[in-house]
Order: sequence, then C-alpha cells, then structure tokens
Amino acid sequence: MRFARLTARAPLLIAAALLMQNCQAQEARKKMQDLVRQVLDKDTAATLTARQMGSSANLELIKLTRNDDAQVRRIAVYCLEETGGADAAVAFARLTLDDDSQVRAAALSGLFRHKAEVVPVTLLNAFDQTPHPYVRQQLMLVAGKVPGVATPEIAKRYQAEKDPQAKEGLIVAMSERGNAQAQAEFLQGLGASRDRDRSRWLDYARQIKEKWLLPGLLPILDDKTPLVWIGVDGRPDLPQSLRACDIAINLIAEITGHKFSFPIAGNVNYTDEQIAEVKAFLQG
Amino acid sequence: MSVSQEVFKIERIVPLLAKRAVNGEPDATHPDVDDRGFLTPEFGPVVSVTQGKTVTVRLSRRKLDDAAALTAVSTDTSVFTIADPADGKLPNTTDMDVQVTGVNGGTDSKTERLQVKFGEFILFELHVTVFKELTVDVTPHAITINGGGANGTAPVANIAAVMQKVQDIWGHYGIKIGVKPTRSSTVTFGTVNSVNSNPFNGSGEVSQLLGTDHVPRTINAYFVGQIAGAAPGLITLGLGISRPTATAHGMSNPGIILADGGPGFARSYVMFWANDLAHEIGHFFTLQHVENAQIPNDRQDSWSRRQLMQNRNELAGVSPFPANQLNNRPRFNDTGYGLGQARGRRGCMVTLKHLPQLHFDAEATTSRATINSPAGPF
Repeated sequence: MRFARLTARAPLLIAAALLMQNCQAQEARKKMQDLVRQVLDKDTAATLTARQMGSSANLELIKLTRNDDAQVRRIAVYCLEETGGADAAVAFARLTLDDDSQVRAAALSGLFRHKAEVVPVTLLNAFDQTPHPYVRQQLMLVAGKVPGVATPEIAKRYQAEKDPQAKEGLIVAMSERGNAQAQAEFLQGLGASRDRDRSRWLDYARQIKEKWLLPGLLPILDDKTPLVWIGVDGRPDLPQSLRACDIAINLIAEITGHKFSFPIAGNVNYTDEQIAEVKAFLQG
Repeated sequence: MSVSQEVFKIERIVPLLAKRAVNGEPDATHPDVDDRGFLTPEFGPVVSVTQGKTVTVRLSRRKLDDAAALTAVSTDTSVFTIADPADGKLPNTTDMDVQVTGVNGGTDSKTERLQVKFGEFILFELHVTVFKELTVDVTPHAITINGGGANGTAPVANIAAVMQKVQDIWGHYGIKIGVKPTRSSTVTFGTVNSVNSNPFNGSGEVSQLLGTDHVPRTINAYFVGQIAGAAPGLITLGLGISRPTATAHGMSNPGIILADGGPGFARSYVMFWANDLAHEIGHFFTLQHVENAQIPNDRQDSWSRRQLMQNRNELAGVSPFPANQLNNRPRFNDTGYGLGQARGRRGCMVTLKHLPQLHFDAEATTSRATINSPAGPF
C-alpha cells in the first residue's frame, strides 16, 4: 500500500529533484558569471567569491590567467590562490614566467601557499626558463620544501647557478636538504649580511629552523639594528621594531626548545640581561 | 654673464637647482625632488616619473644670470623626453618649469639624466628615474560603531577625496593605488562611535574590526569615528597594523584604522587623513620611520621633516626646540606641503637615493620590491 503510494508520487519526486538540480546548476552558473565579471572588472573582492566557490571555479579562472590585461591575470591568480587545487598549482608555475612582475609575484605566492599540490617538474621547468634571478631564487625556496623535488635536481642547479640573487634560493634549498657546503655558505651569508639583507637571511633561517644554524645566530645577538617594523603609530607604548637580536632569540628558543628564565614572544625587545642569558646558553 | 663670489678655502657653487614646482598639497603632476646631498652615484638631485605620464619639475637659477641662454636635453629619449619646452630652450627667468615624460621604465625602472647646457658646457644634471607602474589595491571601509546601547553614526571622512590624495602621493613612485569601492559595515563595540585599542591583541576590538569584511590581497582601510586607548595625553588618529605587526600581536588580519578625530578634536582637512593613510601604507611597504628613530627622538632635520615616513603628521613645534634634538634642528618649519592646522606638516617625499650613511634609505626601491614580492604588502 505504502509502496504503491510512493510509486504514484515518483514522477513528482523526480521532477522536483531535477528542478532542484537545475536551480543549483543555474545558481552555480550565475556565481561563475559573477566571478568572471569581477575578475574582468579587476575587482579584488573576486577573491571572496572564489573562496566560496572553491576549485570548481578553476577552469574559468585559468582561462582568465591568459587574458591580455596583466591586472586581470593578477586578480585571476589571486582567486586561484583562494581556490587551490592541482590545476591551480600547475598554472602558478606557468605564471611565474609571466611578463608582468606582479603576476609573477602572485603566482609565487600561490606556490608557497599550495606547496603540497606543486607538480615538481613544472617548478623545475619554470626555474630553467625564467630570465629573472629573483624568480629563480623564490622558486628554489619553494622547491626546498617540496619533497617531490629530488635533491639531485636542486643540486645540479646549485652547482650551475652564477647569479648571486638566484644562488641565495639554491643555498637555502640545499641547506634544508642537509648539504654541508650549502649550510656553510648559508652561515657565511647570514654573518656577512647587514640591515635589510640581514632581515631576509633571518627570514630564511626562520623557515629552516635547524640546529646547525645556532653558531651563526650567536653573533647576531650583538646586533641591535631594528629590522622588522612591528610598531603601531599612535601607540608609542608598544615595541616599534624587532631588532636582529630579538629575531635571533626567538629562533634560538624555537630551535632548541630551551626554557629561558623569561618569556619568549614575537612582540618583545629583550633586555641586555636576557640577551646575555641566551649567549651564555649557546656558549655553554 | 659674470658672477662674483668670495671663496674661503672651498665653496660649492650652485648655478642651478631642481625642486618641487609647487608649494602646498601633493598632486599628480608635481613630484618632489630627492635633493639630499651630492654623493655617488648621482652627484646631484633625482626625480621620478611613471612610464607614460608627464610631470613638471622646477629648475631654479642660483649663481646664474637670468639672461644666460640654457638648453635642457635628455641623455636618452627612449627613457624620458622633455615635453615642454619641446625645443629644450629654457626661458630667461629665475624659475623655469620643465615637463618630462616617462617613456620606458624597462622591467622595473630606468634612470637617465636631464642635462642643462650653456652652449656645450654641462651646467647641471638632474637624474630622472622612470618607473614601470605597479598597482596596489586598497579597499576602504566606512564603519559605523554601535555601543553602550546607542546607535553609532557613519564616519565623516570624504573617502573619495582622501583616496585621491593618497594616489597623488604614491603615484610619483610608479605605484598606482587602485581604489576599490567603499564597503560599509556596522559593528558593536563597548562605546558608541569608538574602537578601543586596548587590549592590543587577537581578542580586542582592533582585531575584531580588522576581521570585518576583510578583502584579501588588498590593503583594508577602516574609517571610524574615534580610536580610544592611547597613552595618557595622546590622541590616536590612526593605527597601521601591517602583516608583521598583526602577527606579532596575535591578530589574524592586517589593516589601517583612521579616525575622524579624538575627544574634543576633529580633523578638518582631507590631507590630514590622506597623509596618515599614505604614511601607513608606507609601513605596509615595509618602510620604517626615518632612520627608525621614534618619538621623542624622531629626526627633525629639514629633509626628514619633508619625508612621508617622518613620525608626526603635524610636526613637533620648534620653538623652543627640544634639547635632545639640537643636532638635527630643522631650518624650516614649512616643508613645502602646507602648515596643517597649526604647525608645519610633514611632507610626502619618498626617498629615491640611497645615501650610504643611512641604514634605511631608497624607500621607493624598497616599496616596489615589497609590492613585487610573493607576500606583497598585504
């Protein structure tokens, strides 16, 4: 009896389901149209729409990365960074070869954010093709963190690279892969750096976070140059900058896991006594 | 043409100099001239222009007769050209305005020289850097703050006018501020029309505000009524929380907060907001205050006061001048950008040169490198 009633209603139910499916498809189409329009209008809020849609938007977004207008390409890459996915990662590698520096930067950002989806061969091909040393540097910073990129592939390029800017990325990548020569070069680069350059080397060290860095961090404890602005105008009571020594102490604490007599925090200028305690610990 | 000059030992003779062609608020066509010092590699002043744009710079005769016939030439017209005077012949006046057009900035920038000649003799060189245009998107937010059981009111800032001025300031360095449509939101905090900057951490009102309708990959600028929580005796009109600052204080999003005023005090002109916003954007480009000197030890020499990254929007009074600052006492209270509400106003110059004695110079180069980095200024 119940079955008969259900059977009688089946066409209605199927029609309703089809209608719902159709509505959803229409809604999805509408959302996609909106996203495409936003990207073509160079509206950065497209990233919010892309985030909602996820990787189902990738096909259209990837088409937009081939647009003649560099700003459209840039916004499309920002959107792909929100959606992710393997096809997005392939597009990022291709777009590191773009003519426009901001599109290249956005593509590199996508690779950093979606390292797990990087296809190693696309990364290496981009490295081999790009004329820009900065892009080569950044690609190798990514490569060092992608297990699928074989160490001999990085080593080959490390040996051949002549440009100092690009070489820096290779030194970091090879250091991460445990190469002793690269680690020695890293410590030399860190020690020789000053001001903004030192900030960059410390940033690399923060990405590596390994014990072999400790001897290189010891002399940085004497460097009180303010490197990273963390201040807030209008709140002069808060620390203004992280100095080289502050960044070094945070790193040493993170690498060693040692409990110092004072709290470790990312928004502190350590006192001379605290710096001395860390020095004594490293020298002890 | 003859010039008489009594010289004791050594004296630098300046026949001509280059300077900003107008006084007062910044605009899109009159860039500042980085005229700090005469060291290598430029041995003279530098001005910048964006590829495809034309700007005016003023040459001014000093130890030089107005009657002397002068000609201006570009050392490479594939990089920049002289749009006016088209034939290069400068007028016989003390001040001579020259229009230069940026032709090609290459992949990022190219620098050539504008030479002023007397016959075949080169009297003066102005380096002209042509920048390829970069775009940084900024999303303004108009925030109404309800609180204490009362409904708030929308901020009064003329956001469109403020954003135009910000564009005028950064445009000279090849950085286009892409202004996105203003987004309006209402939030509820402890006090009506006010955001409290205490506690300054991931759970405070500032952090909540920066999470409101945040648009990724843009600099989010929140316009509000007031900012509370400053140190006693201080009125906070702006808070710039760049990505490193946000991370250091446990906040999820960076952003800039700009207040209409403080208790019993209101901003009264567009530049008061715009100069603040442009300055905070400078921090997002990883610029520090001039030589990272902080109030009350901020650098007060004439050049530093002309820089956008000087600490104070309205400059510190100079009479009597603080004793701890006597070594860099300013020679001028007016930096050429107007006097503001009462005192001198800091200028809008972003440095082009990298003077070897300074740690944090070449601000235009630093800003552009940040914009071109994967993380960007967001």
